[in-house]
Amino acid sequence: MIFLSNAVIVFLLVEALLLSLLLLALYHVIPIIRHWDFADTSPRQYALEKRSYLAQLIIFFTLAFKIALLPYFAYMIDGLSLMVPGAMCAAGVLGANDYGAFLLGLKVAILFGVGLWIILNRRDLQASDYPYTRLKYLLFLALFALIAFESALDWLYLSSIATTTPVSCCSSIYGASTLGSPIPFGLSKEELLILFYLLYALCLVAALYSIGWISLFANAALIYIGYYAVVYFFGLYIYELPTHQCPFCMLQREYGYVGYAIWGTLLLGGFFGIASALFAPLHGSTTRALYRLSALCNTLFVLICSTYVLRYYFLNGVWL
Amino acid sequence: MIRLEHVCKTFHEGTPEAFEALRDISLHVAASEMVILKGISGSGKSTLLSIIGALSKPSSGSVIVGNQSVAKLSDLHASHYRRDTLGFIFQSFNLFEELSVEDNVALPLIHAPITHDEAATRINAALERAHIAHKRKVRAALLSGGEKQRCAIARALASDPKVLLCDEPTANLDSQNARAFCDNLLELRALGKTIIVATHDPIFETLEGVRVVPIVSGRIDS
Amino acid sequence: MPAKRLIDLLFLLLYRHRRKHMGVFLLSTLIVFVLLSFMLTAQSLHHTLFSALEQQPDFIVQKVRGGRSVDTPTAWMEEFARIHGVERVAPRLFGRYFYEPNETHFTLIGIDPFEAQSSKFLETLVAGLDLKCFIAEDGMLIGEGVKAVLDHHHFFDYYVFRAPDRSKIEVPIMGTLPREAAVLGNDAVLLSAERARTILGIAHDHATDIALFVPNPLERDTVRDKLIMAHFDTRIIAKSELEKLYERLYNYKGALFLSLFTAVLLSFMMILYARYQGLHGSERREIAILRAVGWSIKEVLSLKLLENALVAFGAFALGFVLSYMYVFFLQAPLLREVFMGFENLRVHLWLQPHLEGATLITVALLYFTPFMAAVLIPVWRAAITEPLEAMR
Repeated sequence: MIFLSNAVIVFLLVEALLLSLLLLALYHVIPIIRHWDFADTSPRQYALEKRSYLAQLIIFFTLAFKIALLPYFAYMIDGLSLMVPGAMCAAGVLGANDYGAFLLGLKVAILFGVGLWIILNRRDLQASDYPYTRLKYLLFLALFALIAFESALDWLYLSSIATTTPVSCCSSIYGASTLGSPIPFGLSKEELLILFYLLYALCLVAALYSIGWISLFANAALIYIGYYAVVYFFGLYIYELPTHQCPFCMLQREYGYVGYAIWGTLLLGGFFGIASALFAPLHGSTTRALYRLSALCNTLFVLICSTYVLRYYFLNGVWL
Repeated sequence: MIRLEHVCKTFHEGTPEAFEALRDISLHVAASEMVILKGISGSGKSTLLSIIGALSKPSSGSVIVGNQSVAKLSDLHASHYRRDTLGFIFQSFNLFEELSVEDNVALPLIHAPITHDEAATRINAALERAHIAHKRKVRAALLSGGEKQRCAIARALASDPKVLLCDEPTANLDSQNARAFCDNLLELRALGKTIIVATHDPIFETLEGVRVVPIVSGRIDS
Repeated sequence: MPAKRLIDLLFLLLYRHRRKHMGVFLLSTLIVFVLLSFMLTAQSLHHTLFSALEQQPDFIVQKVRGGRSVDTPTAWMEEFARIHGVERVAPRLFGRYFYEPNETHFTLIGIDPFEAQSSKFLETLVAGLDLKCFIAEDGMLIGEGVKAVLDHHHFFDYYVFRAPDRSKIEVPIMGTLPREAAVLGNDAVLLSAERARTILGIAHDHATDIALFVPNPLERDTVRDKLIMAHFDTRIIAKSELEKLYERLYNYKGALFLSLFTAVLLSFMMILYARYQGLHGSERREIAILRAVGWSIKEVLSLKLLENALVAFGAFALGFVLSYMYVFFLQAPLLREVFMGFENLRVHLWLQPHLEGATLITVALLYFTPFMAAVLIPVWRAAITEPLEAMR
């Protein structure tokens, strides 16, 4: 059911528009990949340099909207939970068919690629001889393939959400009733928390001393562990319920939309951390700025999460 | 200061309309030297200026300004080079008529990585050197021809460049203003600026201590 | 350098190209106005409906016989009250009264102010009206739609109902329901439970249906199961189902409109593209100047994009203000008819000012994306102008 909501229509329209823009960019990118030679002084090369600016402009614009579209996607899915029986938040809607969860993962992965592209483009433009032009357009080709795939999946996913078949709500997807501990490596909650704060400290150290490989490892691990820490520990304090474990309900108005801030800072912090490691071999001021951004986002993330726990303790005098 | 070696420029290369605008130009200009590129319109002198200014790129040959090769720069570097090393002065002034003199002079500095105070100092200095400081708040549209050209000089001086490039700067000026312009250029040369003027105005040949380089159909005529 | 000079330059460019921008600005304002008026109307109705629905009981149990609902025995209430999780049980008395002269129906609702109100919704309906006086005189409160009909037939102070037992019952009109209640209360007639029973012919040990309140959403599924098991001749209506139904209805209309609007947006893009495609000599020249004094292509691109974004944003802001006034001050003439079916009494609906950030974001996405997409190529074309050629 595509006519599920205004948001779905707007989302698909915008998505289609962005995809056609990317197609236009592709048309300009392919000759650049084939013939780019900055040392060449032929008119063709000069024409390519101009076209390259068009391609960059379109790609940059499109990707910027793409970034804005992820929170909108989350908002849209959350809104659909009103219409899908059994769903109380985005968790149920995402589980409505087989595409949902994979699609969300794909979207996050694409945004990482988008971020890398934007940084690479910046580096390329700042250099005196466009050293990464071919590389960035090859990366664009990969991104284009992924985004085309994503758009197709979006369509498939949204059109096959059934409004009659009941889905599980978050309490049964993430609930404690499932057998065994859902926390990875069989960690207890306390161990999970210790690991969480240790990883955060490690990220800070890596950012402070600009150690690429530690930053790469620690940030990737922080995203992974941070996810579980939020769902199985911090979430309880956000919902103020010892049984409510869900990564999506916090996106709703009842919780002040704090989920957007939490997941946003976690992903951004992780992204900048990983990107800084990947760009470390290129040196330059970009890398240092990336480390700083990574540390900033990670700190915000940890602060938001911890504040909820402390606030609950001060108000109620007990831990959940 | 400026070294051109075997610079050629062909427009519409590889098409039937191919046109060789510059053929094997080699030219050395020393620091604080004033060179007059003399030639009729269409002789290629403007093209030569645009190549030195990194506004267009030579088909072959090398262009070195200061210590920097500018024949093939990325756009960002070419722009920074124009902003920091060059000042352009044109025949038709090319001012924003609605902006005040001061705002016109500030245009090159908008994206320069300098503080507000530093920019103000530079703008003041440029206005003084171009003798237009008394009209700083006046809109460019209200200036006379001579004042407009002085405003253009101030704009070219805003980033305190080493090199000034002038393209037919006196074509729209009467003889009195043209003379004043020339005097201004001589003052600037005395301050250490390297100046290249593309012109067919004979007034420049009368100036003291200038080197005249005649350009005829894309070649230096020796 | 302070941003001020850049901003000055930006506004100068806007002023210089005002002719070029004016058409686009007006068209964009119109587009935003239409889009937002539609969305604001839908959203206001949606909000009113849902805040009314929120007051409704979580379950309604009706007795059915042969698929038709019949009066429900009030004896069931005690039984339901014992179900774990049910906070409150209340009988509801209402029914349709056929008003012959106009061939329309009134919805009669019996209320018993001495018992707990069967619906908080009723409380909000009559908020600000003097219920005590209403009870003392045993009169009725009527919705605006009802009032219009009765006024038309000169029943200004009272109306005479005809009961199934052939008696005639004269009920004084005590007042009208506030207009905020119009979505649900337009055709409503509120009377005392006793009067309602007589006019609707409901026996004393029966009610139209029984309302159940289950505050904890996690318990609703179990309650529902128990209700299903309790009697086999019932129909159970959950509030959540109603919500989904209404949500779907509104969304369907909205989505249909938006799909049709796609065609408008496409032509909007084409007009924009055509409008900005041509470059004036003066425009080329100003870009050439900037390039010559050391602006990079990227800086010129962002300047031109900002220029266009300002036009887009200005149009958005103006469109927003206009649509807000049109919808909430003028009450969206013409447009609201799209949303309201009026098969029964014509609804004189009052659109309550209500604004959700999400609506603005949705419209902004739908408008800014095509706008900016359409100007990309013209902006690029301007930025790559060959400086020297343009300055001759």
